[in-house]
Amino acid sequence: MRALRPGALPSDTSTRFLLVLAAVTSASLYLFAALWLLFRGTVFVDAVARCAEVSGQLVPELVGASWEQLRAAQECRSAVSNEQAGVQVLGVLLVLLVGYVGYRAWPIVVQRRERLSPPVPADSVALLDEVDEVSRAAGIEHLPQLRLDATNTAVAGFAYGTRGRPRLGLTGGLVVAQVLDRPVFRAVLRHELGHLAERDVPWTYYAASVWWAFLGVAVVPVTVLFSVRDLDYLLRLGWRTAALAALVALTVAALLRVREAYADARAAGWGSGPELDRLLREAPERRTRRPVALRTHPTNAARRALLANPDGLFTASGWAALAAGVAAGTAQLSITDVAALVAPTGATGFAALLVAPLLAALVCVSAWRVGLLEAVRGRRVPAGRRLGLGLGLGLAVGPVLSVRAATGGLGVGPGAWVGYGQWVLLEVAVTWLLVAWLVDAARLRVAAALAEPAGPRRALIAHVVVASAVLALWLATSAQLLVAFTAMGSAAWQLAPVLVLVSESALVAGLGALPLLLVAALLVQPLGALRLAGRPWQRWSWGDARPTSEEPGPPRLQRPRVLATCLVVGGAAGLVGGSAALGAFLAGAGLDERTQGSDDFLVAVAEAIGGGLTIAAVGAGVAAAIALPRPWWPLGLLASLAAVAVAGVVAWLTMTAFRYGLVGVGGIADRPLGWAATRAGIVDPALRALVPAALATAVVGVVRPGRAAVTAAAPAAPSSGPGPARRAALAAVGGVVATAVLVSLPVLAVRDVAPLAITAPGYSVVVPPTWQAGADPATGSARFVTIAGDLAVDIAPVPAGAAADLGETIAVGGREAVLVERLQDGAVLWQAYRVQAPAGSFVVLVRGTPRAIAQRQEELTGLLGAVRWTDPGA
Amino acid sequence: MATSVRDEAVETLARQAVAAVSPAELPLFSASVTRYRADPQAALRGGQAGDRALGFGVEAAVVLVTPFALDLVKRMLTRLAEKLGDSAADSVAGRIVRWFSGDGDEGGQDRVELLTPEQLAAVAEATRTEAASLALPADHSERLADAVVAALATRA
Repeated sequence: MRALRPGALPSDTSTRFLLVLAAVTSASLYLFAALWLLFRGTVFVDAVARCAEVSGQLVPELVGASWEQLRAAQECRSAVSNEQAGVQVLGVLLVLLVGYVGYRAWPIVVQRRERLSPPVPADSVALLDEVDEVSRAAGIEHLPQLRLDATNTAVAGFAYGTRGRPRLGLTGGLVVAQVLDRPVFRAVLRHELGHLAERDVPWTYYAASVWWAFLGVAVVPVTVLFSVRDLDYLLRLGWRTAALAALVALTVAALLRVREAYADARAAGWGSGPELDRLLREAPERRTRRPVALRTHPTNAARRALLANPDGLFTASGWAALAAGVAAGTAQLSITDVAALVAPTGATGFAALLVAPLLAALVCVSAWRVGLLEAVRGRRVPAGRRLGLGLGLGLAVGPVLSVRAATGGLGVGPGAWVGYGQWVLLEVAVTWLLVAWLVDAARLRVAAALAEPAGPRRALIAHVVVASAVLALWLATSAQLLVAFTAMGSAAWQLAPVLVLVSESALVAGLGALPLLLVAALLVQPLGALRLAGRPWQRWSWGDARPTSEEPGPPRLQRPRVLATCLVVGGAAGLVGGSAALGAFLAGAGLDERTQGSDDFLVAVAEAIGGGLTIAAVGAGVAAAIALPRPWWPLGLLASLAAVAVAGVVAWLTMTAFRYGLVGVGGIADRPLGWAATRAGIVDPALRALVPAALATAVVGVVRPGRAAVTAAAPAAPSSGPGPARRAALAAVGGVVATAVLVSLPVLAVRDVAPLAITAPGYSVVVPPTWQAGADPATGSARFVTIAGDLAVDIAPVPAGAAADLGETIAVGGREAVLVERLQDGAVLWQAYRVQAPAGSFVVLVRGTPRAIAQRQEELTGLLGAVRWTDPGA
Repeated sequence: MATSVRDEAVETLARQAVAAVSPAELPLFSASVTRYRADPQAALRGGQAGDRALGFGVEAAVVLVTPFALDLVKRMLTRLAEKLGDSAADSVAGRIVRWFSGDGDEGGQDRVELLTPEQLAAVAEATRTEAASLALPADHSERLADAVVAALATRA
């Protein structure tokens, strides 16, 4: 069996170092905020009081916190907020700067502490020549300077220094070995050069230096000052800082252990494997009082095992993902909070965009290494579960360990913890799903990249870019959900409308291209793999060992029957879905002469087409995902695309026939459906149908059973998973079930929409979770919220002297609502009602067609009945 | 830091001994002298591989004689001073330094004056006595003492 080359793909350790740095530096944001408040607290309190007064005057009778009110308060406080943010950012820069100075000074400290001396050239010609020769042969860019621990009898070396100025410390025992046992000397030297080649020196020492800077510049001043002023706050902060310290220490120790294995592998690659193995075999295990988890070196036995078989460097660690998740979670919250001081609306997205690439790089690199191992060995490595579960749990725990939690920023009381628990379930489940998708995509793409003569770099970068975008979207969404869940507390059914929230909210918020982006994200890797499937593999991944005659031929990526599967499944689903929906419509409301030609009729047709397209897209995607070999499941979306295309054509032909009077009773026009109507009635619903289709395909593709190996490498590889007949049955059942669930869930979610809370100083109003802030297209008002895209509600104060002469009255949430205004904008009607509440009256604006409004009025009553009115004066 | 003539003699004679007993240690010699001067006891204790970050090391049965050579010659000169007086010891030290630095070859006179047979005998006795108390395996101590004496004897 040929050995894999550990450096065939990048390691994830650099990313993990960066995440540790991000966690440490972002934690100092809070500490500097605490320091700022200590000295400028009076100014802050005055500004809050003054600005609350200003915003209160703006909308005195408003029960809810409007966006204008929040904006007014923000503008009023901007000077103070900017000062606070400036101090926090400068504090972080100070930590980084002091860390950098410490990093540059560290070599001097090491040399003084260890009493290292440079070798005298006249005495050390042979030694210097040998180091020079071995370093050049290894391709070391910057030749290391030597420092001697002359009287140390151990045979040891260690790397330190700075980037561009590396140094090697050699003990006396090792220097003597240069004469007495040259292979051993070269083995240790090459191990240390391995650290230089892997760029371990700057990462290790800068991370350590920043940690000490964090303690010295941020933690110590806060501890000293708050131990006198606010002991309670100090305690709340203290255990979290201790937890962060433990996380950093454990992570850095784990990273160093991994780096040792990589350095061993480098040395072995340069020809010193047998000597390293001999040294490790003959040497006793290191005696140290440190716990195993805090040791910086693996055991000799573990190192020998990895030297013999580097496959262990191609697995994924759930613990590493957990630590990375915690670091990312704390960093994201800290960055969000400081960014919100300057730009409240973009803060969540900004923080997500900063953190997501790090997580994406971590997951993709780990997944690619696993994928390489699976492809070459022809067996499955359970990486997706470990990575996804670890990362999800880490992201879920991060907020608790963040300093935001120390200040009560995650809500208070048992209700907040119940809400947090629900959010954890959601966070872990969705993160697990996303990671499982990334791992499956990596399995495919790396197996294909083996056929790339230039190696995997471009494909890996593309994967990280796509993963960054998707993870950023999810991180931003989950951060908002965290606020909502912890604020609302114990309503267990909040979880129901999540899918709607994720998909629909993005659509109505203006991300009209989201469905296409989602489809592109899922398809980019498998389509790239498809291009290279079946081609012979390159050698960039192999070790130095040459293949033997007994070894099986190089494995290749199997090419699935994608086109046939997707066209057949998608076409059938499209025909069935489209025809069934339109048939049901025409058999019912469509043949009702009284409604034909009216707005209500068109709305009903559009709803029927949308339903049919969704059924077709979801069913086709799920069925194809089951029918395809496992890692190829994202290509099931091609079936969804085929399905919506077929269903769309069916719908267009049916509608055109209806307009000519060929179907139903009488024609309403003597021309085909125009582009505007086609887009509104068919194209847009088709795009929207791709969102649940993508979600359903992903869920089914990830959780379905089946063989994972994508190659025909090992003759002995077991062929697990269902056979063709059982797979077809599974596809049919899965398609039906998933379609039913996916189609019914949004409906249930909208019907049982859950209230979420938006809080602001002095006010508290509870609104359904699917309401989104945005500009009112008709009036330009910013106080606009909408449900599921066709019903809008605007909570605003009643204008002075507003007419109530329209007079129509409905019951809203047990209260009387009077129609005060009606606007007609084409087929869309706007109706404004004035609602009486304990703290005053305000307007509810409803948008839709007359029929939709009539239907929604009942829902509106239910919705507003769920609103928890809060009287700020109470 | 200014070094006394005795320090120079210690370094000079120890280097000769190390070159004879363990020439592989010569690249370490200057660094060992620095270390020994800073903290003789720490230098004699040696050290351990430890658990340094980015390090590779094994505790090996390597014996480094350089610190002990320095210690031995230093003790020998101290003993000589106790026996013959400081001025006589300094005189011997100065001659050792000059001799091994090459100055002693000039004129051929110092060659005879380096050490008289009596002095050499006294030095040999002092060296072997002190070597016995070194924290070294016996064979290493003896070889080191022999090397020191031999270095002087072959020059005398």
